[in-house]
Amino acid sequence: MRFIVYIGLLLTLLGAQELSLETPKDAVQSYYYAMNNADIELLEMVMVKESFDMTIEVWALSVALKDKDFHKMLKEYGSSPDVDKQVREAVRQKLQAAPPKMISDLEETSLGKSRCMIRYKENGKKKQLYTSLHGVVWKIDYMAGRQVD
Amino acid sequence: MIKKIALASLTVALLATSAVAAKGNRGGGTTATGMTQEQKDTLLFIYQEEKVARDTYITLGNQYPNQKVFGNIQGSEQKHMDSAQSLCEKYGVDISNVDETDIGVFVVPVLQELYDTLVAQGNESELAALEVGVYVEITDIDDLEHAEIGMPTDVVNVYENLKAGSYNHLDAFNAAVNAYNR
Repeated sequence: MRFIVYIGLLLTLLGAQELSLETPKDAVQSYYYAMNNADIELLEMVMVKESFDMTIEVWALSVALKDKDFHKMLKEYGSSPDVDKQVREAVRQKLQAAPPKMISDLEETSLGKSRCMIRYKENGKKKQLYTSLHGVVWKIDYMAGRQVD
Repeated sequence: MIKKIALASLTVALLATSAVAAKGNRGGGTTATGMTQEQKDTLLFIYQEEKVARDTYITLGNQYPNQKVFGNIQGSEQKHMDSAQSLCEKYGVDISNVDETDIGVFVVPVLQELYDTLVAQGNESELAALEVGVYVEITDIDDLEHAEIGMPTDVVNVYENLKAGSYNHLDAFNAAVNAYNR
């Protein structure tokens, strides 16, 4: 519950009081809100750690493929706060330069009591994300795409 | 890269299974088919992620049709996908929500980003495309070496076959890069 309050406070500061993580749809909307605002800290809060790290590494790859020094650094992601900070900053800059992604037509499909798949459209294209329940909040979880329970 | 994380977690999960088995399998969540829920989750993700390499090679092969290495290898990548699918089926992992029909189209955003990044890099030049191939294969080999630790024999066998294939692919891409630079 404290987590929701924290998220709520953060989003209030960001002027986005309507967002929360109370439902799977909320998690997806928060994920896109964080991405469109290049807000890495918020993104980290709306995703499970493994999925968040994966996302950061994939987004950083485009920089790494053009910069050998950054490529070496990316291999060390997760090993030191300084490296993580530099990698996240590179991702932040990439997101800031990217056009915003608009989502619509969100539909929830239950994959069990603690999992839910969201089908939606991103800039008109079919997409889907998986979410899992953590206490009272739903988070983006790439590994939660399988029916359980 | 993405697979490295996924496979690492699968390895951890499998090691955890061994530890649970050693303690008499109390509360470990191991299923009747011998895989934990976490392992099954990772297997499904790996299946989805295998498509990235295949589609990248198909797209770059179309972009550079004179580079036969892409065409030669995409068939093997399809076999990698088939192997992952077979493991999913064997261990009861439902893949019905995954649509692999459209080349270069991924419903999971992070996989679309990975594919787009690799293709964008490859589109810069023929040499860059070949280097993308080298990158993908080195990453695959590294992933598989981590992944097979603690695996059941049947899974290890599959991964050994995949790794042998990746070494062949790496040799082919390196040869193409060297030929290009000559």
